[in-house]
Amino acid sequence: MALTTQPPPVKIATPFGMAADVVIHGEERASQSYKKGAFLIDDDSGLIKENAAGYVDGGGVTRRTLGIALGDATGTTSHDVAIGYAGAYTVFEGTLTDLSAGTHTLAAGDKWQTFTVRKGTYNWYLDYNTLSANGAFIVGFKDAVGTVDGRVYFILTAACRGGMHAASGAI
Amino acid sequence: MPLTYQPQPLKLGTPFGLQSDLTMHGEEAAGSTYYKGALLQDNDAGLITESTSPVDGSTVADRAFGIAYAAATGTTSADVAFGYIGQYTVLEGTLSNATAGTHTLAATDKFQTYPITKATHNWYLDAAAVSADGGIIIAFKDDVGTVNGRVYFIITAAARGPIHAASGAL
Repeated sequence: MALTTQPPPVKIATPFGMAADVVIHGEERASQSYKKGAFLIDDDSGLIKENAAGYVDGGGVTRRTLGIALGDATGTTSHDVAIGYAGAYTVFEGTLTDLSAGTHTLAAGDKWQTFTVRKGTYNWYLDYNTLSANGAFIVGFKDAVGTVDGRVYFILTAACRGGMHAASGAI
Repeated sequence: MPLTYQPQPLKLGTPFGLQSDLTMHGEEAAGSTYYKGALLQDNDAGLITESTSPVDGSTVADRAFGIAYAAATGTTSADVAFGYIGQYTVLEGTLSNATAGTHTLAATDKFQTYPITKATHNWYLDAAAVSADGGIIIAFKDDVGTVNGRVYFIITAAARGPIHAASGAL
């Protein structure tokens, strides 16, 4: 079953304990069409692209990220890309929904669990259907328990933070 | 041999390079009796409980992601404010020895990693067992030669995490 409602984009909620958001810059890979809030990674050739696997769960180097897009792709090769760096203290805000059931109703037991981050049609979300070893560790709720497809705050677990090169370590 | 002296509680040192302490909030699990400074984790049902001793990363239960700012209230779902334990969180605690009863702080203790163990109420680093994961000592608060000296430490990556089976470290 597909998602009943496509999620709004992921965004950075707070630079936890830091003075400012942590922004790094790269250069856009050819033919990119990602949206603001997309999870990005390098292409192992020095350029930045959307995580093409469609998953951030640490299941291999292709399923990791360096951070989220702070703007849409321009479609221009080597254009500047501003990235909200995903570090150990980066708290994101995103939608917790369920690809299998179509929706998810936020429950108290969702807090402190770790879910796979997946790509919807454009935007990324947390998939309740796949409780995961690595992915988004929920540290707070923006919406109240009982909200359908509620927004939550999360930190990416260590194994999800890294570059594309084969066998490269997590950040 | 038990500890000769019960340790003082753990507490946050300095938020290493950060602007402030990292405070999170959760809800208290039923039956909690932990004290201020206890190491905390979730209960896999959305509530916060005391970690299983020792915190050495040997199982998902033997990890932590927080330190209690106050003792448990005993009220299920009461607000729990805790200091989040991340890569840059420096904690202060007592280095003692559960086998010998006490430990005299030595220069060679620095940069060693010890399991973080619960005493009667409070948690401490146990010099009886150098560990792969637990608290890596990065500095001394007390002088070398101090019995049961206070040290500064960071919890290693494998010992930071939630309780869900096979969940990854933070």
